[in-house]
Amino acid sequence: MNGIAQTEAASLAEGRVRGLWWKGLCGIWMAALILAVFGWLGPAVNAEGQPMFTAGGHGAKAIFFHVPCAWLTFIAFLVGAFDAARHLLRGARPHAGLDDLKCATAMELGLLFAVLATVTGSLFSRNEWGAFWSWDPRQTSILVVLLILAAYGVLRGSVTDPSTRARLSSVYAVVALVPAFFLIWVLPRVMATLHEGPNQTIVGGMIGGNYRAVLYGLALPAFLSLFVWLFQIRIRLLQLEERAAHGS
Amino acid sequence: MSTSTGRSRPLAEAAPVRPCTQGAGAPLWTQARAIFLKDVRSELRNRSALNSILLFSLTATVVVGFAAGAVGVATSVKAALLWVVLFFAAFSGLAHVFIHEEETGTTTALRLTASPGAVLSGKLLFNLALLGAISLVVVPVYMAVMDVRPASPAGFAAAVIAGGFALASAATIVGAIIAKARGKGALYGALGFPIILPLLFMAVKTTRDTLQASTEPSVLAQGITGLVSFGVMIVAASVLCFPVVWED
Repeated sequence: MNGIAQTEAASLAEGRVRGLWWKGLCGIWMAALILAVFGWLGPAVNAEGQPMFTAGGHGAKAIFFHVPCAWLTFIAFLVGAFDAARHLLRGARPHAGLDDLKCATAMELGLLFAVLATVTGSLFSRNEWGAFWSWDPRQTSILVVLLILAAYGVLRGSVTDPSTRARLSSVYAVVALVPAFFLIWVLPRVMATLHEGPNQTIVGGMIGGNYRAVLYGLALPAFLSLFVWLFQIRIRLLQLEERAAHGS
Repeated sequence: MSTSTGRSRPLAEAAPVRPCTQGAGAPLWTQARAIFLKDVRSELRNRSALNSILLFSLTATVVVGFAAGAVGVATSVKAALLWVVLFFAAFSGLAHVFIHEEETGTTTALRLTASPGAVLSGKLLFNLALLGAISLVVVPVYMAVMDVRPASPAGFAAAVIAGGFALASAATIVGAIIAKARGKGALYGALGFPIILPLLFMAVKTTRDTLQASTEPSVLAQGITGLVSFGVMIVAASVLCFPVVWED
């Protein structure tokens, strides 16, 4: 912790911001993604050239923003659970490392992306199938993951003592991983879902016109770098708050 | 109090309470049984928790029966509403074992005299017994009020028992987590629900299957196995996490 704090202080004092080079990459990826989706990519057509989804095929472009948000939610949850487990395995001492702060940050960001995924998903669903919400298993599982992440935040807020807070929230993150895993991986595959059609078409490459390439090639790196950037900024903020609170 | 360096240690930082790892030399089962019997005796002496949970569950059943029973709802709805009542019964009262210890100030004494595994086992047994006792009253009342006639009574009983086991296990570990938080009541349900959700899915589905005559026994057996395995998973997670939650 002391070594990191010193590096932090040094870099802040010199006015250098760490990790600048890949922030630029994030901007480039995002700009490329937006240009590609709205400028370059044609409407979604299937093998026979018929337009798929609404708005003459253009409605499918929501997937480039909805799906990465869902991916990021799950990645954030995994990062959070991993850091929580590390915190516990290292003896649950809150100032021994950044693990608890990392877990809190990851869960916060996961909540943000879960809200985004749910909202964009329901807007797309309204366009496509006429209803905002249909208790589709995948929809329900993202909502429950949202609830888990929100409950984590509420738990953190309701415990005042820092070491107890770190301990209890880490335990909750690890325990909640079990049902989250079930909800994300098992339930949508076991039950029939509205998502099945779009899943097959995109992953199976049945939409012609480079949709899969743009999704995996542009959207995935753009959103991943956005997540890492937000994560770094938030961690730094929490570190500074901790340092201010402890007067070191 | 001063150390050899001349600094005085504030009383709060003096030797933190460590959980007893040997449990006064007694084997796990003896300790767990002692804790279980202590809780049973204390509960029978002053039946506040039992009465309040029982009254709450019966009220919930009556409300549900009044709202839905007169209309004549489908069997799937009856199965769902039964688990709603059981969920709220569990997540209003089963944290009592831990909160009561905090309120009466006996947590430290318990920490000193028993090993964490024994505490978890004893409290879990108590919660199982409590939820079992409540279900024995609530489920027949529900069946009477909502006119529930299971096509497979043995299956119905097995589903309620298996689901109740998993419900009580999850309620125990979440109760242990929130015992130290402020705003315990509302937080309990909010923390517990996302963890319980996959269980609720399975329990409602299995109960619905037992109510309908058209289900094959293999499907029923699969459902009940799923419920039991979820319970076992939650108990396993509790055994791993409880010592961390319990220590000070």
